[in-house]
Amino acid sequence: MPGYRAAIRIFLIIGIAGAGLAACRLVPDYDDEIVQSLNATTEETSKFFAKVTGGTNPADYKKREDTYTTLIGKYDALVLRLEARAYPKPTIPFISSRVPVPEKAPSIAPIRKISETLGVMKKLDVTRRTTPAEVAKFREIFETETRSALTYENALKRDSK
Amino acid sequence: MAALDVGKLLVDIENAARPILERDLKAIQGFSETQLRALGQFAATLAAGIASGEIGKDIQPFMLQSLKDMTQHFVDVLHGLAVITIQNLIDAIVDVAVKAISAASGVALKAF
Repeated sequence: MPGYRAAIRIFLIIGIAGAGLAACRLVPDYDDEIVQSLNATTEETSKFFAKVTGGTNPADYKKREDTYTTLIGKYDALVLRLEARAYPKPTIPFISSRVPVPEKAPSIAPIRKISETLGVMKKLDVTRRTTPAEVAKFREIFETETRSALTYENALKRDSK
Repeated sequence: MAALDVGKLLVDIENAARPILERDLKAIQGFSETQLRALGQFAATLAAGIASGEIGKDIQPFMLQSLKDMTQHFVDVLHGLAVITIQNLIDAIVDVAVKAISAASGVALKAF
């Protein structure tokens, strides 16, 4: 019964390959709470930048101190949550050797950079006037890094079941 | 046991993979264009700001390092998006294959 044997063989090949691939996760799960939190913090940060678009003066730094502290705290908390999220390690040599999976979610570094940027801006705000051009640059870093982080996190949504 | 139609299986796999590739590659292209434009704009206005003195000397090293960091993060996210696409393709192909085996064998199988 060569036809029967061939069918069995095809079943086995597809079954084993399928089971192996199904067990192999290359990306972390989408986390709606993280994305909601990032969206909310992004909105807050955008409002802050809208207020200081004309530059800042150390004379009224105290008015902004709490906002800096709050925003930096929120971004640092997001980094912690992202780092705490389960991140898969491919267990099948065939896949892990051919698909170089990032060691951690690539959304972590952009968010850490936003926190660092706000920290640098805060320090500068205390010591001297900042120009509109400097504020614009800080804002561009915030926007570019937010797009990087959000694009990755939102792309995970399509993959989640 | 019914025979597994390998030809149909391959067509089904192709039909499952094509929309994923089209959708994900389009998204990756849109992200790349936006970020490359933003990085170019950042570099150009940074150069202008340094030349005009609007970007203070004390902050210039941070800004230059930021350009490097943003570029690295952009590339890392592109890599991450490509891996997500591979995962989506694996999921779709396994789903089609398992359904075909279930139908042919009469045994209800579940991939995930």
